[in-house]
Order: sequence, then C-alpha cells, then structure tokens
Amino acid sequence: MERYELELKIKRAVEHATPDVLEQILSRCGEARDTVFLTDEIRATPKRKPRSHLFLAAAAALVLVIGGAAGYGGYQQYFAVDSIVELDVNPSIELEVNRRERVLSAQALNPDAEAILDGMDLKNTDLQVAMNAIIGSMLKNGYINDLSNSVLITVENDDLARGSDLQQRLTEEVSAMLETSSVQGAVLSQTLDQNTGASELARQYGISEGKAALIQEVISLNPLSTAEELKDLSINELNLLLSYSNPQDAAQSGGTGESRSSLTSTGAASDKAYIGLESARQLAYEDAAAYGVQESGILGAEVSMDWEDGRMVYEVEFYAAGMEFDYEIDATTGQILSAEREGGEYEGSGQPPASLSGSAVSAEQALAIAFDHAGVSAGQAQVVKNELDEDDGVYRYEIEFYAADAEYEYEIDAATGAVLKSAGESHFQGQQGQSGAAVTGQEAQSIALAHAGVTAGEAGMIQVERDRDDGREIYEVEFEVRQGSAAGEYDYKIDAATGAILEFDRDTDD
Amino acid sequence: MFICSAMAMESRRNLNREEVEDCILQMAQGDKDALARIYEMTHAAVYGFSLSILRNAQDAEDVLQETYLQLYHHAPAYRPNGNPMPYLFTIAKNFSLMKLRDRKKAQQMPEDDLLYGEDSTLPAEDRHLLNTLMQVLSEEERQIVMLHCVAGFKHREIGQVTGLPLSTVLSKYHRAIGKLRKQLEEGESSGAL
Repeated sequence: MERYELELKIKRAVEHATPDVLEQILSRCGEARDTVFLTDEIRATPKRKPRSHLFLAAAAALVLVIGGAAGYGGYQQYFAVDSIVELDVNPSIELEVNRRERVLSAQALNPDAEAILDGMDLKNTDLQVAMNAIIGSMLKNGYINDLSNSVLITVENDDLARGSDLQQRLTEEVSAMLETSSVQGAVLSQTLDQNTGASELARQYGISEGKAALIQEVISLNPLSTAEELKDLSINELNLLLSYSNPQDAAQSGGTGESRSSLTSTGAASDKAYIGLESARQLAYEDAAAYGVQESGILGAEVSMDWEDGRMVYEVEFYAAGMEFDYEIDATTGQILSAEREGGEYEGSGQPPASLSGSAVSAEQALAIAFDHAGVSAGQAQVVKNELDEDDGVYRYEIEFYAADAEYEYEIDAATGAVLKSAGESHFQGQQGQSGAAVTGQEAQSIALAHAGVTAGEAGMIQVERDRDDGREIYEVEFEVRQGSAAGEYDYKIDAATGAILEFDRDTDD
Repeated sequence: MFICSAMAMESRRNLNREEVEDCILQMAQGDKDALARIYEMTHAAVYGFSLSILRNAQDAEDVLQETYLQLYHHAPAYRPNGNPMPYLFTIAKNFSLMKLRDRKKAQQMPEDDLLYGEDSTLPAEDRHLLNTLMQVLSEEERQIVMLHCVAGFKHREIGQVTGLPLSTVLSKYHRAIGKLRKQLEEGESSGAL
C-alpha cells in the first residue's frame, strides 16, 4: 500500500466513524447571545430624559383618572420618582419607580435591553410584576443561562434605608425566580445614593450607574484594570473577577479594601464557559513538573481570575522546590500564556537572560553534556547547530552535530543541564548481503539498555522486534523508564549483524 | 496511474483556513449557520484527534460537542491571525485531557478493549484500520497521524498543537506510518481481517 493510499484510508475511516452531533450542539447554544457591542452603539442611547417632561406628558393623559383617585393625593405625588431600579445582566434596563413601587417608566440602556423590553408595556405595573416579566424574558431569550448566570440589581434612592430595604426584597424575589428556573443564578445587589460617584463613569461609557459602580468595585480589588477594559464585560464576567480576584494585588497597590457601595452577593457566578479553577491549577502543576515539582511539595497555592488583553485568564501562583511560580492561563482554551519562575537555580521572567551565571548552563557546557552523552569527543564532532530556544518560559539548548558518520540531535535544559531529548542516526552503510543474525534479540536488548544507562529492572514495556531497514536486518528495541534522571521513552535500532547502534531516540515528554 | 493521482489530489485537499476563520468571526455575531459550516468542515478532524487521545468513542463524542459549544460561546474573544486551527485544536486537546483525567480519577481504564467491536456499524475495513491504529501506535504517534491525515495539518502545525519539535514530529510520523503499513500488510497476508 502506498503511503498516500493509507493516509486517505485513515481519513475516510475516521469520517465514517465520526458521529453527527450538530443538532445537539445547536440546541444547546440558546437562542440569543450576549455579544459584545461596539461602544458607539451604546453611547447613542440617551441615558436620562429630563423628568419633568416625561411626567407632564403622561400626566396630561391621565389627569382624569388620577384626579378621581383620592388614594394618591394628586397626580404629582403619583408621578414623583422615589427610586430608580436598574437591572444588568448584559441587557441593561432602568426602571423609575414611585413610592408605591409602581413602575413609572422603563428604559433600555443598550440594544440587548431593547430586545427584552420590546412589546412590553410596564408603565403603572407593580414593580414585582415588572421584574418577573423582565427576568422571565431574559431567561427565555438565553441572556441568563448556565454559562452566564449573574444578575446585578441596583437601587438608587437618596433615602438609603428605604433603598436597602427595597434592594433586599428584590434580591430575594429574583433569587426565588431563578431557583424555579433551571439556572442556578448568582445575584449581586447594591444601593446607591447621590454620593457614590459612579454617575461620571456611567455617563462617560454609556453604561448604567449600577454597572459603573460594580466596575469601580472590581478595580479597587484589581487596581491594574481600567474601566476602559471592563466596560464591555458581562455582569457574569465582572462577578467572576470579583469572586476570584487576587487579594495580594489589592494589598500591593495600596487599595483600601473598603467598599464604597453596599454590594452584596448571593449564589456563585458561573464559570462553566471556562476550564475551571481546578483545571487551571492542574495545568500549571503539570508544567512545573518539568522542574521536579511534585504536587505534595507545593505550598501557598492560589488561583485567581483576571481580565488581560481582552480575555479571561486564570493566574496560578505557588511555591515549590525553593522557587516561586507564576502562571497565566487562558481561561477558555487552557493555553499557558506566561510562566515565570524566581529563585532556585534560575531566575527567569520570560525575557532572554542577559547572562546565565552561577549554576545555570552555558552554551559550551551544554555542548559538552551532549558530546558526553553521545560518547563522542569534541575533536571528533562537527557542530551544525547550538542555539538557545525558549518555549513557554522554558529555556533549552538545541544542539545538532556530526561525528564519525553519525548525526546527533540533543535538547539540553538551560537551567539544569538535563538531557531532555537525544537522538542519533548512523549513516554507516554496513556490510550488505550478510544474512543470519550474529546478534540475538536478548543481546540487542542489553546493548540498548546499556547505552541508556538503565538495567532491565528499571525499564518497563520492553519490546524487541526484528525488522529490515535499508536492506539490512535490524532489531528495534523500545522501552520506557518511569522515574529518575533517565526517565523517558526510548527507541533503538540495532544492527542485527554487528550489534552496532544505528539509531536511538529518547523522549522525555508525555 | 490516473486513479492514483486522483487519490493523491483528494488526500492533499486541506481545510481552507481562511474559510474557517471567517466562520469564527461570524459566529461572534451569533450566526449559527456559521457554526454549522465550521462544524461540517472540521468535525471529523476534531473527532479523530480526540479519539487518538481518549481511545473511546463515547468520550470522543462528548468532547466533540463541548469543543464546538466552547468555540461558539467564546467566538467574540477570538483574535484573527490567519490560522484558526491551533486555537480550535487546543480547545479539543484540553477537553480531551480533562476527560482523561476524570476517567483516571474514576479508575476506569477501557484501554484494553477494541475501540470498535464486532457489533459496530462501521464497515469492516474501517473498523480494522482504526482498531489497528489505536493498538499499534503510541499516544503521540496516534495524535500526529490523526492531525496529518484527517485534519490536513502540516508537520509544523502539528508541532504547535502537540508541543513537539518539528524533527520529532517528522520522525514519529514516518515511524508510525511504517508500523501501520507493516501491521496491515501482515494481517492481509495471513488472512486476518
């Protein structure tokens, strides 16, 4: 079978075997999306109408009804706005409410909110009924869902006592509503008065005061973030940042840690759209294992979430093996974005070191290590490549050289001098036409093990096979070594006539 | 000769990366048709890749769903750079590794079973090929073969997704193909199917 024939067969076989799950995927997507809108669109929506115009216009139509309703004591009192209630999820809605908790007006502050309010007439309805309708619509349209379950309720009232009371009741009602739906909701709520100072920020970015206040709270805990970065985040994302912020960040930048607002939180923000704190931690630990770090030796581990360069990341910090580790991991894909180590044998911060001093390894030393491993002297070798390379914060020397008709490739850890990868290939033509193996399989195995520097007892999964390669009989010997400095997967090709090692390969990756 | 070259052309037809990236950008606007398109173009490749890590059809199917859901929900955060494949496959890889970890924790080790048993609905030739592939190749070899043959990745891209250097990818790929050819040819000559 030709190679391309086999490749095509493999492709066809997998295509036949792949199940079709598109229907399931589409049905799990939900109808609407909390997409990120361009700020220009948001700013175009006027935030507040002058109150007097609104009420006089409405009053003109309702004067007859109100005049006869003795209970209200005149239309002026009915139309007096007592509180402003804002609801933010991604859609942002503002309700003006009177003393009797009747909705006087409902305004959409962004396009998503317009979709929610479309077709709803909330004027004169009871606040609770209106909240019910709005939350119900958000659930139905998928704005509140499994992956994004946080709701922000903001009450603005100069009488903080009344405001707090309303805040508490609304929180209970909304939590109850979410409980009866299938989503496990998280509710953030706060009361603001005129002194909160969020209105400037709100006006500047075209967002609700409530969201602006929440952003200010997040910034007080993550002082390196800016409102510019955070303004487009959903409430769920802001809630995650709030819940999983790094307390050290706040302390280091002299944050007071005192809330200006009365932000209370119930439930837990959903992190189902991300890989999760535990996974992030495991990814960092696995990467650190290359430095001999074992989970049992890890101290002071902390995982937090942050918003960096337009995406959600996990930050994992811990101490182990005398070094301090700092990882940044993409919360969606699990990719390690940066890895820093301090202390121990090597100081690194992701930038090429000016000079590797002390016990770190120089280029000449790395070469010597490779020659030694290959059993070759410097005089015999012709070096083709010796370069320092960086991969995810780990520095290694990539070395290639020829010696006595053989070609060698090595990777040497720049911090510890450990041989990470070794491979050698012999171009020795050998004697053609020699049949019958002078070397037994058992001997071939011993030769391979000896070269690797391990005993049969230390090696596992030993496989020895006869094969033909380039017109000559060979043994292929494979084994793995789990622990110790010689750990890795080994692959040898041994000349069956002479016992010479034709090729060897060692991998230390999984 | 004609048939051979036609097959050669087919097997060389790779995924159009620009098209895939356009789909992601459209998905960021909530376009579900774009999701369906990207699914059609890439789902066999993603499935094959997950299968190579998990060696279990049901688990690979779960990962298939999770990967596209994740891709869809986070399409707005994707930054276009001309090649979306490492992004998509890194998502698939991480879901697969998490599934593997969960399986280890639950002490389930189905690795000795044949991937596709007698009762599978797959054609016999496909079944034999995939079973052989899973049994004979090492984990890295399986991943590399899947990415090259089914996803049409160049060796350099395979290096990006698996974290292996280019030379390792090349040598492992050729060794893997050699092993497979040998195993399949031996099987044919001895009459086994």
